Amino acid sequence: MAIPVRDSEDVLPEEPIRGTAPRWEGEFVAYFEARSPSLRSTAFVLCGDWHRAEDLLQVTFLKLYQVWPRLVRRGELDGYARRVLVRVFLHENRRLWRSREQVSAEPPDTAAPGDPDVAQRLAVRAALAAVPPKQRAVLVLRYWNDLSVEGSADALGCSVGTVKSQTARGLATLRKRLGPQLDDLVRGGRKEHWA
Amino acid sequence: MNEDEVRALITLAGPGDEPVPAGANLPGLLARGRRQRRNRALLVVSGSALTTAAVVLFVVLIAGRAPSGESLRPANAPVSTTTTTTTKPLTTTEVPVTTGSAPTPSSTKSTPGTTTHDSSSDPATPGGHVPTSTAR
Repeated sequence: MAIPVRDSEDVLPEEPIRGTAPRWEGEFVAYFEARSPSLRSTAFVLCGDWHRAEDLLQVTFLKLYQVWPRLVRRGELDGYARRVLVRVFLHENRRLWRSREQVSAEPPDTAAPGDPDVAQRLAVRAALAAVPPKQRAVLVLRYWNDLSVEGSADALGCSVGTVKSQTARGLATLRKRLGPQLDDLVRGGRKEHWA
Repeated sequence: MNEDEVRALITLAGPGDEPVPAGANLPGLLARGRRQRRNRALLVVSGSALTTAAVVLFVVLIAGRAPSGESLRPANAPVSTTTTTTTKPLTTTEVPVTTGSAPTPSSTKSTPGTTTHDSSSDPATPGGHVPTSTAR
């Protein structure tokens, strides 16, 4: 991907930061602006919470910033960014305070499920939240990011067989959680997907 | 479920029409990134300098412990009975050199029924070293 090089002073007119900006910072800013929406939505599908998705995105871009000069030399920016995001998500889930924080079954700012579309969305998000994190990550990479089995294995740092087995288990969990409303959801989702 | 159906299902879990909070704070991100890069560089440089200093100190300490000029000496003087007997002039009272050799370890063992004499402590014993006035 060719990244337009920008002058960093254009992006940061009020420069409150001490120290001089590295020469490559303009490229980083351009990449951030181009890719953060898609990475953000991937983070949202992974965790189902905008605020947590924002945290994941910040940590991901911070890690990208650390290795940016080496990364640009090597190429494969998008793949690396996705890999970092998924690993940050999995790492966050391993932390104990994350499990202690989830004390209520329902998030406090749940939208009223009056609209059937919203109700469907909430049902799928709840079902996806019940899938274990690694299986969820596999499902998101394969079916949200449209990666191949090999690409997902590369992003997760595991074998192709692991991706296949995790996909099967994740789908089984999803099917079990959705139960009888699965057919309606698939029909509704297909309509939206192809719209 | 086939792949398209799963894809459609996962699409439902994606962001919809709901209001999305403001995006990431880019200036804050850049400031944090610069600070972390600077700290990391500082850590690497100071770690390297510290390691070099430690190695230099170690070498200086090792070199400072110079070995003493004295050569190593054996703990005991070497036992040499033949040299003492041959240097002494033979007198009529002295026994032949061949009989004055040091006893073998097997002969010093006392066995029941036999009598052994320590030739070094008994001057009357034939074969012992007898200092006489003729040796002067």
